[in-house]
Amino acid sequence: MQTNASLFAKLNPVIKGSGLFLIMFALIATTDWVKTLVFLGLAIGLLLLSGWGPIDFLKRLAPYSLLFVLTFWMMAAFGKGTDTIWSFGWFHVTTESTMHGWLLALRMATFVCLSLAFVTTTDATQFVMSLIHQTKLSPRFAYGFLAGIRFLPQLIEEVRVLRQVRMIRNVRSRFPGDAFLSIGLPLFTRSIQRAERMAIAMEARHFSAERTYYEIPEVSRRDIMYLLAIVSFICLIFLL
Amino acid sequence: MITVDDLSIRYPGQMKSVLDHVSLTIEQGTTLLLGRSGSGKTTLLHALAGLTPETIEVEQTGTVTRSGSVGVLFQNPEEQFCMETIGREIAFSLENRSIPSAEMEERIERLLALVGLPLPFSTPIASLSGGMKQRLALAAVLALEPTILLLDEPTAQIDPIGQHELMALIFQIQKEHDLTIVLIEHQLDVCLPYVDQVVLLEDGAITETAHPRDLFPHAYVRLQAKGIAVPSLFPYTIETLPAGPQAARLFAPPPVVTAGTPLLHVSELSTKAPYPLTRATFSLQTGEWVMVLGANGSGKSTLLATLGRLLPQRGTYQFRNRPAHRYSKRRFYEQVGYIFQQPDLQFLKLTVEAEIDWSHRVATSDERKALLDRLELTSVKQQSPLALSTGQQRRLSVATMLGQAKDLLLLDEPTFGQDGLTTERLIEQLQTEQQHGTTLVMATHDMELVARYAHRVLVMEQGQIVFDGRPNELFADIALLTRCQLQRPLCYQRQEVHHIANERIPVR
Amino acid sequence: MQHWKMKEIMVMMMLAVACGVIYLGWSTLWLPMSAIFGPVGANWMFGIWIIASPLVAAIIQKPGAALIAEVVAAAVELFTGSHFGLSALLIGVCQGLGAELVFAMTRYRRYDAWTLMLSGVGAAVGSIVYSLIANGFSYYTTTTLLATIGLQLISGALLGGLLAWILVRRLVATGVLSGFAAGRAKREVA
Repeated sequence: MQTNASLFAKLNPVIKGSGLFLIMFALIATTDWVKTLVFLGLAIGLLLLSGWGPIDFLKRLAPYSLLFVLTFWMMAAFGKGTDTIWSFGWFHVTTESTMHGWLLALRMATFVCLSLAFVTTTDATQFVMSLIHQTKLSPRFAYGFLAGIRFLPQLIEEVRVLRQVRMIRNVRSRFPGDAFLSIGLPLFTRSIQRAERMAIAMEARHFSAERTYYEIPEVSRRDIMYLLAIVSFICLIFLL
Repeated sequence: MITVDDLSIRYPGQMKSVLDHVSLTIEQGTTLLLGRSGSGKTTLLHALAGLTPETIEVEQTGTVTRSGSVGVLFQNPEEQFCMETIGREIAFSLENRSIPSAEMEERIERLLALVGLPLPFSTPIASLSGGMKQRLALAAVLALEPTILLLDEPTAQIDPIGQHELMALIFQIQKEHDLTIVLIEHQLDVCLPYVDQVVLLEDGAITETAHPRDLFPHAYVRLQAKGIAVPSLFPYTIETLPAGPQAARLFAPPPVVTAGTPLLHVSELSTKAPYPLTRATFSLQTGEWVMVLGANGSGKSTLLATLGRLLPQRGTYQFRNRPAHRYSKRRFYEQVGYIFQQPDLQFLKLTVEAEIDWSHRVATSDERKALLDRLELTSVKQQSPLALSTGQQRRLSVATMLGQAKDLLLLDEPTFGQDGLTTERLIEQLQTEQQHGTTLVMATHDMELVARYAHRVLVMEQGQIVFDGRPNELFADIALLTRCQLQRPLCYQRQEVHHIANERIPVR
Repeated sequence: MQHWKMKEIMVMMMLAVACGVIYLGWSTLWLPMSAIFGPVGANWMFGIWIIASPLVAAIIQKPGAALIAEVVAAAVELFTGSHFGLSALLIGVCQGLGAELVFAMTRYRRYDAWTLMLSGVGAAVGSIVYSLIANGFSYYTTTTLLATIGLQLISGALLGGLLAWILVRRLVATGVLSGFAAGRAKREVA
C-alpha cells in the first residue's frame, strides 16, 4: 500500500475509506445492473482523481478481465432462472441468470476499482494513525498491528524457505491441510517467539497509551465535502 | 547506579532458579556480564532493566534499586522496530516519552547525526545494513535519554566490520554522555578495552568480580575449560602476544588437501534480477571444502541457491557429467544437501527422534541411537525440535543432511551468531563428511574458519566471482580484502608475525 | 473490556499477519482447483481462510481475539495492495463475527476441538450471510446454493476449526506457548 501525489491522496484516510465503503454498501443494495454501471463510472472517476492515467488503468486491470468473465459465467451458468437461453450438462443459462451475471461482474469490477483507488493513495502508517485519532482505536493495538505488518516481507521469505525445505527433503502432502500444519508449526512458533521479544522491546521503550503523537491526521473541510458529495451521488442514483 | 540485593529469579514451570541470591552493585563505567549460556546473565540484565517481574513474568524475590533511567538494546535489531522509516522509529520513542510534537523533528535529526546515520527521515529501515539497523536501534533507545544503558549481545547478528563500528560508537557516546553501561558480549576483543569491571556468572551465582586485566590472561585456561567466552588477543596485540594458551589457539595448521575427482562444473551461470549472480564459472572436485566470502548482498546466498537448483538460471551447470536439470528433483536432492541459515525452518517432524529417523532411514536403529548420542540429543529426543536451544537446533539441522553420503553440501552461513563451542562441534560434523568425499560449499563471514579449513575460496562482489583460489593467496591480496570488506584472520596475522620474528633472528 | 498484556496483543497480531500471508498463498490455488473441482466443488478450500479466528482465540482465550484476528488477517490483503482489499476486509469482519459469537456463547471458557470446529462453522455462517447479501448467493439455483453452503460449513469445521485445534496442540508441545492461556493448563499439570 503506498501513497502518491494525487488529489485523492490528500484526503483523510479514514474518511476516504468510509466514503468508499458507503459506495460499496450502496452497490450491495443495488439489484439493477444499469445502476451498478453508473457506480462503476463513479469508481473509475475516483481512480482518475487518484492519479491514474487511462493507459495505466487498462494495463493494471487487464488481468482482472479473466476474473470478470469468470464471475459473470459463474452466475450465468449456475444461477436460477426460467427463461432458458442455452443448456448443457451442469450449465444452465437463462435471461435472469445473465442479468444477475452482469450485476455481479460489474459489482466486482467496481469493488476492484474502489480498492485500487484506496491502496494506491494511502500510506499504511497514516491510515493507522487516522484510525487512532478518528476512530479512537487503542494505540497499543494500533502500533502492535503496525509492528506485525512490518514483518510481511520476512514472513513471505520464511514461507518460501519452508516450501523449499519440503522440496529438498522430499515431503509430500498426505491430506488437505497437511502442508498447512507442516509449514504452520515452524512459522507460527517463530512468530510467537518474535512477538514476545517485540512486546518486551516495546515495553522497554516505555510504550503505553499515554503519549504524544508525531503526526495527527485531521479532518478538513475537503473531507466533509467529499463525504457529502458521495452521499448525494448515492441518493441521486437511488431516486432516479 | 543500580543496587541488586539478594535477588533470586525463577521462571514459571521450571524447578531450578535461574538466579540464586545474587547481590551486586553497578557503578559508573562499563560492566561486562560474562558466563556460559544458561548461567543467568540475560535474566540478570533483564532484572537490572526492570523488565522482571512484570513485563517478563517470573517469580522474583529480593530487590533491585535504580537511580536514573534505563535504556535497553537487544540483540536483534529487526525485533525492536515497529515502524517502516527511520525518522518514524525514533519518533516512536519520543512519543512514548510524551515529548511535544513540535520538538520531535529537531531531536530526531540530532539523534540520527549522533549515531552516524545522517539520512532522510523517510529512509526505509529495510534498506539499512545490519550494523546500521543496530545503530538506529541505539538512537531509538538514546531518545529516551537514559542514564544507564543495558546491552544484550548487541553485535551478535552483525558482520565483523559492523561490530567494530558499533562498539566504537557505543563507547564514544558513553564518554560524551557519561552513561553507565552494563553489557553482555561474546566478542570480547571488541569490547574488553573499554570494560571497567567483569562480573562472572556461573549457574545463577556471581563467582568473581574483577577488572579485565586482572582476569585475563591468568583465568584464560580456567574459563575456556568451562566453555565461557574468552578473548583471542586481549590484553595483548598480535605483535606482543607471548607463547601460551592464547597463542596456541591462534595457531592453525593448514588443511590437508587430497586430490579428488571432478564433481561439478558451471559455466556462465547467471540468475535473473533481483538475484545477483552473473556469469559464474568454476569447477569443483569431490572432497573439496570451498568457502564463499563477500559483503552482504554480494551474491553468496544466490550462488548457493543456484547450485542447489532453487533459482531459475541461465548458463551451463553440469553435475557428475550430466546437465543438472536432467536430474529429477528427487534424484538431485539425494545427492545434494542444502542447509539454510535458520535451523528452525528445516525441521519436519514433531520429535527429535522422528527427525533423525526420517533423514536416516537406511541406518539401523542402533546407528541412529549412536548418532543421537554423538549429537548429545539423547536426553531431548522426545521433545519437539522447535523446543531445543539454538546450538542443539543447529547440530540437529546439520545432522539431518549428513551421514547420507551426499556428493555436495551447500551451507548458508551455518555458524553465524553462534558461540565458539557450537561452531567447533559443527565443524567436526562437517569434517567427517568432507573426509568421506563430500564436497562442501559454505558461505561464511568467519575468516578464522577460512584459514583453518578452506581448501579453496570464492570471493563475490556484486554478483560476480572476483577471486577463486587458495586462502593464503587471498590473504596476501590486501587491496581485494579491503574492497570486499574482509579482514585477515588473526591466526594468519599471527603466523606472519611469527614468520617475520623468526626471519629476524639469523640477521641478528 | 479485559486488559490485554502487550505480549498478547503482539502474539495476536503476528499470528494473524502470518495467517494473512498463508491466505494469500492459498488464494493462488483457487483457479487451478476450480478447474479441477469446478467453481462449486472448489469450496472445499474455504476453511483455511477462516483459520485465524479459532487459532488465536484458542491461544489467547479473551473476548475479541477471534474477531480481531480474522480482521487483521484480512487486512493483510489490503496492506499488500491487493485490489480486493476493501471487500476482503468486509468479509473478514463477517467471518470474524461468526466465530466470535460461538466463543461468546461458550462464555470464552471452552476451547476444545468441538468448540473450535463450531467456531469454524460460525465463521462459515458469517461468510455465507455476507455472500447472500453481497455476492448474489440468493440468485443461485437451489442445488448450487446448498452444495456451496454445505461445503463451506464442513470445510469451516474441519479445515478451519479442527486444523486450528491440532496446530494449537502442537504449538503447546513445543513449549512456545508457556506464557499464554493455552500453555498454562499444560504447565500446571506438569
